[in-house]
Amino acid sequence: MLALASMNFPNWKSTRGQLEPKEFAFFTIEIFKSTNMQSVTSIVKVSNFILSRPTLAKVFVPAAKAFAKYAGYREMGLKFNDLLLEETPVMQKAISRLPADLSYSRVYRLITAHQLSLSNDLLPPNKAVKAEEDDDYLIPYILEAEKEAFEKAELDNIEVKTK
Amino acid sequence: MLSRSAIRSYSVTVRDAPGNLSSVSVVINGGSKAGKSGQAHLLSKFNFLNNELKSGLRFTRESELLGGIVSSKLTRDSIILNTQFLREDLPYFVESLNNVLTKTSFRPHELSEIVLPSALNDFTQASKSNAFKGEEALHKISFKKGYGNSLYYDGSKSFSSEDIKEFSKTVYTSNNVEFFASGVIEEDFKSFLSDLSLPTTSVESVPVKSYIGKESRIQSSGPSYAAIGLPIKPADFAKFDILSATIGSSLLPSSSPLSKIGAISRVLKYKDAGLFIVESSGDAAQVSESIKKAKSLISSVSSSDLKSSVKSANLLQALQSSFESPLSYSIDESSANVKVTDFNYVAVGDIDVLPFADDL
Repeated sequence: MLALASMNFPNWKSTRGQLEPKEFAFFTIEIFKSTNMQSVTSIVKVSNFILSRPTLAKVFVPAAKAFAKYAGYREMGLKFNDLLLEETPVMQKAISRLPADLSYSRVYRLITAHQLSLSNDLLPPNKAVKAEEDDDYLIPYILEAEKEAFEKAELDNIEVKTK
Repeated sequence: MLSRSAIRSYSVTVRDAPGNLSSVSVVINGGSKAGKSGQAHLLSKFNFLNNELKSGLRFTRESELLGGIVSSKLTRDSIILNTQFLREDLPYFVESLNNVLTKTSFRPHELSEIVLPSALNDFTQASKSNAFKGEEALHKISFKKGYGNSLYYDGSKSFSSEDIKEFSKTVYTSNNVEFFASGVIEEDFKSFLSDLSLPTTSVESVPVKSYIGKESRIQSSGPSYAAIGLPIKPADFAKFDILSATIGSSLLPSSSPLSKIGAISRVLKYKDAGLFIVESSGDAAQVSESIKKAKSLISSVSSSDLKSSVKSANLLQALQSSFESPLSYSIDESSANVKVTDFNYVAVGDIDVLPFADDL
């Protein structure tokens, strides 16, 4: 899936591989929430920066992995991308652009989580979302939608200087 | 050296024009006659949207600031990219045309958010007119394939953005595009074009087959429409221009035999075929009357009438000829012999009242 995503989105450079950035993005987003920086673009930028520095990555990636593991959303049948705040125009746009199969499984996971929440239960360990299944299926769409929104804002406030 | 030989393979027509205004048109031989029904319409709507280098929004705003006008038009024969701009902005617009031809992104969300609504709007607006429906039906029964494809995408078939991208690769090829530049310096234009590298795959041309003696009747609300149509070969354009000028053409609004009975004639000219149409629209009873009279008028045109309209036929040709699609056949008295016996017929509207082909 990720290979497909990075093929479709040339600007979204996946730094996956041995570094496991999925927990990592979650970790950074959790940190950024407290500093009120909302744009996923900037979060991805910082993540990529940290991942590109082996010393930083050595510290952050294990911390992020542990953080995601104990956050518990995987036992509710969710992927990290399902947790992102969706009540913004950019997110609405990104979600509406998901291919049918991704959109369907997203809704299915949300319903699973609701059901578990109602019955005050957790998935058994063999049914819980595994770390390798917890992919960033939505992030490329958010990045594209954010890029469009930023560009529109920039062009709406453009200043034309005559030579 | 390579780029030089590449330039030569494009067909480029340049003319200088007074003033500060330039225009560059790209005529792509791949209108609705090419590909599956509706594909060309969707492709035409994708033009000037996001490409690898620039988003569609940024291009629109930039070209607005430069005072340029861009459009992508669809005909049965071709997709026409048209740009108009101030002389000094030539490099910018040539580059943008280059981007359209080679770097359009074809993102799936653009198809559902921009292209489909816009294309379906074209179709719904056009389909409100019974005359349009009739013309479409006339093309369908006269040519079946190719020119018989519906002009617009009607929403009945679903295409993915990948399908449109694949289709664009088959029509945006070096021997399938023609450039028409007006108000530019030829050397400059060709040097800017040297960056353009289109694939050279040759497009297989489908032979045009036409059919006569068919009829189509479509029940529909609104004013009724009836038309007699005759598919013609490019070699016969001159003959039918003369016939059209004799009985009354839609381009020459003077009083004519056809206008007296409430009908009008047109000659649609395409690259590999044409369609001669005599049509009437309005109240069903009146249309029935007009189309019957028009039929007897066409069959009773005398050769002396035809000969005396050669001059107006020349005017008709001049009116239809343009820089991008020049008409160059000659019209003289030797072409003043045409006899319409068999024809295709469409009736749209109140088909209980409108006559059948054999009633005419």
